[in-house]
Amino acid sequence: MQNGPITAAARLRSWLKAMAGPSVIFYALPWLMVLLVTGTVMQRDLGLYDAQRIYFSSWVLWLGPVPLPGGYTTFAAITLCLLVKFLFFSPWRRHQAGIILTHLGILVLLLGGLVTAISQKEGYLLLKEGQQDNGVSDYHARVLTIEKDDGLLEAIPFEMIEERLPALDLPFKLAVDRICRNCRPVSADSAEGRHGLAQKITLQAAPPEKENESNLSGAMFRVSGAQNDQDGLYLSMEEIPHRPEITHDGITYRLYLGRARTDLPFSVELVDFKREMHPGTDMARGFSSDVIVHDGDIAWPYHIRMNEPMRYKGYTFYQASFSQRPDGEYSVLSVVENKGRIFPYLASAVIFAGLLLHVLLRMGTMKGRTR
Amino acid sequence: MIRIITLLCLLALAAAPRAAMADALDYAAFSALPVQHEGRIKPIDSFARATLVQISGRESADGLDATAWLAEMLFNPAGALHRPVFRIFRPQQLDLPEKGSRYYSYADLAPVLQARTETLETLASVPEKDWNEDQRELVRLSETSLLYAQLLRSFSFLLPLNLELPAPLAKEWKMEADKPHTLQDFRPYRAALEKRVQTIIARRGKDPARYPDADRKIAQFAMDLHILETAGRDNFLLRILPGMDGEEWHSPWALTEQGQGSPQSAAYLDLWRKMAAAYQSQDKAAWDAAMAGALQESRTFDGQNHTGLEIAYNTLQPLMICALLYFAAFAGMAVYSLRGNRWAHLAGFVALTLGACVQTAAIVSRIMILGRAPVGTLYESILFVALICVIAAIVIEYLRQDGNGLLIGSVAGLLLLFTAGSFADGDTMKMLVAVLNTNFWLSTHVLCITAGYGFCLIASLLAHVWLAREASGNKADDLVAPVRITALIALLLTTVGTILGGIWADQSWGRFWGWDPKENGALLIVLWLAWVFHGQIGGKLNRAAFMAVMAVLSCIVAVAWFGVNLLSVGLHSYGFITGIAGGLGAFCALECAVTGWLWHKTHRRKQAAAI
Repeated sequence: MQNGPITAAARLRSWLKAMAGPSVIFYALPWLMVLLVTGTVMQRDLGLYDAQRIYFSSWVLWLGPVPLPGGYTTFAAITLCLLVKFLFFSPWRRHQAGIILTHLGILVLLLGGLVTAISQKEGYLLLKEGQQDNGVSDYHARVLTIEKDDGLLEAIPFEMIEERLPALDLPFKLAVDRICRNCRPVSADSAEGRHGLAQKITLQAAPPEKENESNLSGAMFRVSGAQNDQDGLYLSMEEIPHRPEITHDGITYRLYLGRARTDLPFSVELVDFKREMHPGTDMARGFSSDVIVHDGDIAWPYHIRMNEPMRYKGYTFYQASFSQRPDGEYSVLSVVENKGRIFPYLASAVIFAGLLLHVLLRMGTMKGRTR
Repeated sequence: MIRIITLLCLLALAAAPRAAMADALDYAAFSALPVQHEGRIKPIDSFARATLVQISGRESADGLDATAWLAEMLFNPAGALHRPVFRIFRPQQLDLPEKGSRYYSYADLAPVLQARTETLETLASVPEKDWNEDQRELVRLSETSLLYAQLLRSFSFLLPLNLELPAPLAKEWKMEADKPHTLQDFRPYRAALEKRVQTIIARRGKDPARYPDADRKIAQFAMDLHILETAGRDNFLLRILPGMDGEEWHSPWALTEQGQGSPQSAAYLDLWRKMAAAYQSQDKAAWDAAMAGALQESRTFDGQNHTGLEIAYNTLQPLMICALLYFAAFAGMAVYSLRGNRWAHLAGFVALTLGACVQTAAIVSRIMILGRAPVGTLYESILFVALICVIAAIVIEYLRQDGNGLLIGSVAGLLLLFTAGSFADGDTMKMLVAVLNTNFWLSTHVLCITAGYGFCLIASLLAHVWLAREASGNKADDLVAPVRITALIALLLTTVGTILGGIWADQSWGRFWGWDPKENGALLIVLWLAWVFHGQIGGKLNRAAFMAVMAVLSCIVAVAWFGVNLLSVGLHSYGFITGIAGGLGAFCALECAVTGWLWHKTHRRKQAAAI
């Protein structure tokens, strides 16, 4: 009767010991390297977003019908093994101190990666000089926004538009006529049965860009059952500031397909954007934005430069890029909220200390005069 | 191409110097004059060398050093037209006559390019990656010929012309008709001349063939001046004159066209005019006087960092000295290994140490000249890694005194300097793109990771030595500890360097890790080293296998260092390169083959010994 629990404990210990041994890492690391190399090379054809999604940010990597461990699974296995090793099987001896410390640093780094993967939100703020805004656009997610008068009625993720649009509670019927992840606007053959911008242009599906951020999504909508000859085709597309309107019983409904937006609890005003070039060349030396953060009664001026971001209320604003448009120059500020950003800083210090200690402890074996 | 024809017309008008090219003029002061090029102020010496390398692939041309060549380009463009400086690899593809050498003159090349205008225009709309080798060569020649044309007309408005000044104009403008004049001399009369030509056209029509002789000469003269003016516009290459803001310098043409000069720049330009005149007449005294004046005046300009040091760097070619010293160290090691001569060992050690000192001095010079951390470009990273390798090898040799340090230090130094040479295209002291423009991260992350590359290469070379010795039946147990220690240091530096890179990315782009190819490359080295150590600790890799995978580390480093740049994707766009895939593949294949063969021989020996 007593053998059962003892055997189970022994078995558990033997399992844990196997996990803590170097063998699991010895087989997991080559697989991680395979994922790393393949995912990196595939960026050339797939672009970063898809390559990352398939190889690095996945639990399962499908090789045809064969399921293989994805990046998440491999990292989880390594983290678990390292944790078991650190907690239960670390040889707490002086000459092993460097290795223990290094393992701790890697655990901190991996934990930081987990926190970042869970908590990080990032987007961008596109501001023209003099413009003030608090809406952060998502790099990847697109949504169809339907407004009723000036209030938000519905925001439907791009992937669900065709499914959810017919079920909307609207006084007229709204359906997708054509939708594309990456659209190319071309001249419309005829304006008949079309409204707004759709009278002049129509959308054609273009091959997706390698970088998801570069895709311009759009859709043609068919409206029926609307009042006053408003039935017909309407168009909405990213980067085109045109919002189709349908009025019913004095209520105006507006459609807009664009990047998903998140509102900041404060707003940012761009006062001045500067692009410095190396003299006599077209090579950029630096970009910077003079901004003012408006938060209630507070107006806080700040100078954001490359490598010198602004941090405010848990958000960090980076000088990411700029955009030259017909109506002027825009500054692109990357906005990131990451609760795990402290971890790499801690981890680098711990890993450095650990590896340095280990190297110093082993240094004595270097000398050995032999010809 | 129209510009090229125009330029040929223009240069046919330029007067040739009275004397043939003489070596009598001293170009030392000329080489020290400042010029703004590629975003920084540098001496004419550097500008001339970089430009000539771009055109001819060498720092001298047809018996002239770079500075003398540039002086001829500026002050005797008619002579420079016929100097064979364009390196052409496939002359038959361009229907150029076969010559004893690969070098052709601008006069040879311009008609050929003119005949291919349509092809060049078509190529402009074809992505560069789709060009074949001939097309690539054609575009290169077109670009370098445009560069050449720009330089040729840098001072065309200050040079005496072979234009015949019509007598009525000479009388009206109170100028001597038989004396050579410059375009600048005629500029005050530009409006009057234009008005006069319009009057002729109104009176005689638009066909000059119908004009009386006097009017035709005036119309032709006006046309020639117009060609000279038009050809000179948009000439921004030779920026030798500080602008009003002090930041951006101007070319002589831009300064006179845009009127951004000051009394100081006018005086300085006048000194250049005197230089041109002295060169034309080959008057040594006048040349020296103008040069001394220009040098003195230029010293008052801002932005000149260590001109003398840069000229010394260019002249002494310290990296060439290093290569020679590393070769001497290799020779010393070889003699020591074959004959056991301790003096040869000492000489090799001294040569390696001297080489490291010279290379350190070269890198420090570059830091002083550029005012930034030493590693900002791929070329600079190779120089730095070479130095790290040599210093590490010196320490190993000092501790062990067995020749292995000499061997790996000299081999790594020579190979890396040779590799750096293949990346030295034009001026190697370049300004940095915006995201790299931060001394803090350049001196922490970049130095850390490149030092890691250096230790990886040393560990790999030591592993090669171990395998070679074991494969040939000699015990090499004494090398196990050095391999482990250098690999551990490599792991320390690459891990910390990679994390610091993540922190830099966090500071610059807002994310610690973005799976960018360059980041992944750095991580690959860390994972490889971690795998090797875990394999050894867990008993999965025996000693021979441990050494074999450690030897192959050089391939991993090469892929992470150069290979990922070939993908041309990611945020590290400033590091993209092309054209080395074949070389990289061959290196990796050779490394794997040699390592595999050595490991196989070692393995067989061990098996035989066990039996």
